[in-house]
Amino acid sequence: MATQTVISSDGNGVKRPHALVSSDTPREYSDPSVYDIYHQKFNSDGNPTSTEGWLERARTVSQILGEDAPARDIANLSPKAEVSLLKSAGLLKVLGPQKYGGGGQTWDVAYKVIREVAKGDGSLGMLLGYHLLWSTTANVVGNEEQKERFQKLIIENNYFVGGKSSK
Amino acid sequence: VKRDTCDIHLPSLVDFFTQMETNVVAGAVNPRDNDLKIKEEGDKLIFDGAKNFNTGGVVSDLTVLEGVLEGTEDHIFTFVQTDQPGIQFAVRKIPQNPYTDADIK
Repeated sequence: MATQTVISSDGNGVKRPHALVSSDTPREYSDPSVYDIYHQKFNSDGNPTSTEGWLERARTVSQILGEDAPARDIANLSPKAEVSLLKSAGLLKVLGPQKYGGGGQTWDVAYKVIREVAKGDGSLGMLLGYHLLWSTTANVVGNEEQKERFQKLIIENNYFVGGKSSK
Repeated sequence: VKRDTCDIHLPSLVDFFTQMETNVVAGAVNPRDNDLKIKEEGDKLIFDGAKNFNTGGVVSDLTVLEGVLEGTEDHIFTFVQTDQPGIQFAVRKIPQNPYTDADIK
């Protein structure tokens, strides 16, 4: 397997190498169908409607992920399946406005949900935390119209949001 | 970062500032890195740059980009679709056990 140095621009016209980049190895993802039985259960149960219900849902997800977290960590696949579990369990929507299908919970509940998931799988707790932060970006830097528009977009589509800002 | 231009079909925070449709050329992500540069090109905004990390980015549906508009100190955030030619992710091979016995001693 050839490892090749890839040069990229940093936006200042400065070229630099990215170490350990293998350009001939396709990215490998975990398969969401491994959680089909849970997707079906969560779909039929619907999203929780109370704070305790959200924490209970988080504990269930934590238990599922905790069964094989070390093995999945070693396998080092990009976590498409794991994120699909967060989606079907509804956890990406815990903070979302109820009028768009979200849980309407507050940040203190969201942090408890993150902690519950992290007990079973620290990496997935981190991803959930990042998503909840990024998905509420417009609440912080946007105006009222943008806040509504992006909450609607993200919650109704059950999108998982990544991102990055500097400094 | 490859300079493939592609239209995004999502509403953008940027249109609050520009009242224009937005076009994103390139993005990627992480602190420790420089801000993305934003250039105006006709009625489009082009985000250009590279980031070393983007937690969860490769499995995301949307990516939040932040950059600075050229010639200003204005920071602009936008949501874009992650799956587009303007955003490319490197494949990093992370050693499973980076420590040798000697390191552990």
